[in-house]
Amino acid sequence: MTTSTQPRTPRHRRPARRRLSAAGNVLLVGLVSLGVGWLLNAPGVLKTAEGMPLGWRRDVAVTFARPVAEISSLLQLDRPREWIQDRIDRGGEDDIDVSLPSPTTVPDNLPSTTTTAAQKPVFTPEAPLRTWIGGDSLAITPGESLISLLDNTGAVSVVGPVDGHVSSGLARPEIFNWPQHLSEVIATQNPRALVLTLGSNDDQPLTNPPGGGTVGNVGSQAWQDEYRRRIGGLMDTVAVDGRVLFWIGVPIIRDGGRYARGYEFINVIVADEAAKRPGRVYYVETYTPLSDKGAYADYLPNPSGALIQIRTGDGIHFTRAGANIIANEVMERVHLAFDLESWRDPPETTTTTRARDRDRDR
Amino acid sequence: MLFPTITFALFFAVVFPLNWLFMPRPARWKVFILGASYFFYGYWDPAFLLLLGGSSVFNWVMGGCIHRARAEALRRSWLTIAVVGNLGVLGYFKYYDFFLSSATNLLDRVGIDISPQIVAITLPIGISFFTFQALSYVIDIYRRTTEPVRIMDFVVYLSFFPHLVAGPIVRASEFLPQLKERHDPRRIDATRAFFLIFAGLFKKVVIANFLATEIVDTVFGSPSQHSALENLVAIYAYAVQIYADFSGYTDIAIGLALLLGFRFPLNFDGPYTATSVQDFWRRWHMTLSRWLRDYLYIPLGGNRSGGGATYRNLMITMLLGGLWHGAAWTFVVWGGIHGGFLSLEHWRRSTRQARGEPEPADTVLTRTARRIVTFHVICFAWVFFRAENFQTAYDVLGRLVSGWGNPSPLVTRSILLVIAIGIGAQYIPKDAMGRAMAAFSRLSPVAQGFTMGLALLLIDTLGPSGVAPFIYFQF
Repeated sequence: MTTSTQPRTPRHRRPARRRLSAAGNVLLVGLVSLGVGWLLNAPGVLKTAEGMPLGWRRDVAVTFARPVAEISSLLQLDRPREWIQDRIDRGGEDDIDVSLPSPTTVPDNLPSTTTTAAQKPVFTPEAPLRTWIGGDSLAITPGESLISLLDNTGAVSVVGPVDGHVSSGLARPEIFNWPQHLSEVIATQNPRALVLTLGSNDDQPLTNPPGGGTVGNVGSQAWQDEYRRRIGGLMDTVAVDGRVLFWIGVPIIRDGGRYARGYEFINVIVADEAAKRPGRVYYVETYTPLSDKGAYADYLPNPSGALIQIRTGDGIHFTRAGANIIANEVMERVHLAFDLESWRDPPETTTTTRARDRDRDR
Repeated sequence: MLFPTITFALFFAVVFPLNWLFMPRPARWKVFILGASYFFYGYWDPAFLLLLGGSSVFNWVMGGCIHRARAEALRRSWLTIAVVGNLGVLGYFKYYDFFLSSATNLLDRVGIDISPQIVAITLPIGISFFTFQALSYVIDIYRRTTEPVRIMDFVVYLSFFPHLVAGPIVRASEFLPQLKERHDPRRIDATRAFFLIFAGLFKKVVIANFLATEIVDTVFGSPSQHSALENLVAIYAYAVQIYADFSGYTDIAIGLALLLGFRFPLNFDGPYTATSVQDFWRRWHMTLSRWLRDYLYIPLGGNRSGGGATYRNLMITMLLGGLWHGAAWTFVVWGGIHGGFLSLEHWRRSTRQARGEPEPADTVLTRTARRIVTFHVICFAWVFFRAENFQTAYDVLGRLVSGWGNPSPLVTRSILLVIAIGIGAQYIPKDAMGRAMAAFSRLSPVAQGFTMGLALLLIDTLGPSGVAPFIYFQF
């Protein structure tokens, strides 16, 4: 067998040419792809439709999405999606559970005294305070700042990064079911302290109340009663068996009307329910520390007097500097509830005792 | 209205057929596409439409004034008014609070208290993009490289929805001639459009959102609480995230424009395969770098005067390019790092030429080494781009030195795989993609639709729930 020793001339392959399409065919391709995509992703589409803001758009979306989801399930076309979700540890992501717990704390079994300094549980680097931080989008930046502050104590172990779920709250359990999620967090991560930010997405009608339907008119007595039930239920799900919940209230926002129409009710209810659970739930008020003499402010002077931006352009979320203010507020309550400092005190030695005696003699 | 949403899919499903129905009658088509674009933009906030409309009318009038003026001094005066007007609006909406607070703090340090009234200004989406596009029109008329067009054509150019909010920065000279072309509804480059749209969706929804939620946001939120390895991987992850996010958006924009019969310039060309920072800027946000070169660097003198003037011009261009991205000093530093390395490369090149030294050998090894070094220079600059403030940037960089040996739970195989895919995909040869597109184009429409439906399954299932805004919307 012989082989050619002549150098090979490089072959210039003609560039592959693609066919152009007529507009009608493009439309057909688009519609087929959307149809196939919808059938294959039907459970996700239904969940997205359920999570839309209440109104005619959501009603229309759910009306179309539900039968497609049923057809997809009947034909088992949703299986590939389930299979992929299971492979990437996100099985059950499309499930919708709207059950919400009711409060178990009643006035008769309220503790008569608040936690005192002497009763504060002590945590050390060897036995750190396991802490979980999460909530809606307002939880994320302050949560990151709080992680830094907690870490500086040396006696806290934060379980995972900030567990933030954008657009979530207690008004729409079909979007994200916080009591159920927190039960899972407690079962799997066993935190002793939980720092929760919720409420900024709750100034809307409450879906899935016990009697079915929707409780509309934010601020009405019926709305307040149902929202109070949800707040109390969540607090009693979390703040039991020695666990302590720190609930960060909704901050002052640029849109003062929105605050007055919804957030004010939410903050009052949360503060009120927290007060019923002394030592178990701490309410962290954020309206005042982020305001400029009671008025909304994008910029505030920092401790050294320099003007710093504390809010992002949307007038709701926080810059790092604003987040630090909230984190400091939370830390004050954490120190009220737990002893994270005494481990730093060195054991009393002969030398230090003598030195103290000498100082006293002077 | 965000591209990867059902709302936009419905919007485009209506716009696409009507676009081609109206196309044979250009006057009606322009009214239709203008209405669709204003609906798209007004969907965020109808108040922004006033700004877009005002900018359109102002720049069209200025273009006419420059064109009609005969004396050079008068032409220059009209140009100055146009540039000041455009930059004034951009400055007010984007930089007013930034400069005021910076000035207040500076004066405060020397004991002067001015207690300014800081107003909360909402930044209109896409203002940086459409302002630069409008500037290209008036400057090109001043340079006599573009003729003024009818107001309807100009308004359509400025507001055409595929490029309106986050680019690519399409120049008047690239778009306006296409308005005069005959667009044949039987010859749409749909395959390329579909590939771009689906590649863009995958990059944004799966890669960018995954990296942001799984490591980048967490580590940059509290860098000191994470190990050196986590910080290092988060920097690489951010490099891939911002590429996937921004190039994903422009891929979708270019694909949508193709479906409507218009060609946009390429905006990214494998930026992490660059062998120098200069090469990077030929591959990253190419429409912005060309804009800065033609309308800022060259008018400043470019490299014509040589020596110090070239370095000065490079630095000014890059510092302002940094500031274009956002009203914060971290963006200025980002631009400064790029300007510094561009100057260094220029100095090395010119020194070598002056000494008559040959170009360094171009072997696989040296090219690979240059790519690795360039990628790390770019990553170093990204730290300042991503960090909310200098302290965070210093914490991230400082942790790279001090945080070794700690556990790194955030560095998972999935994260490393996605980063590898994000970088590796930039090395896919263009003909391989061309062959894949040619093969796809020969499928029947139903088979094409079915294939794309499967792609939608992957994108929607693998992507985190919810749609995060595109990073470049804020610019």
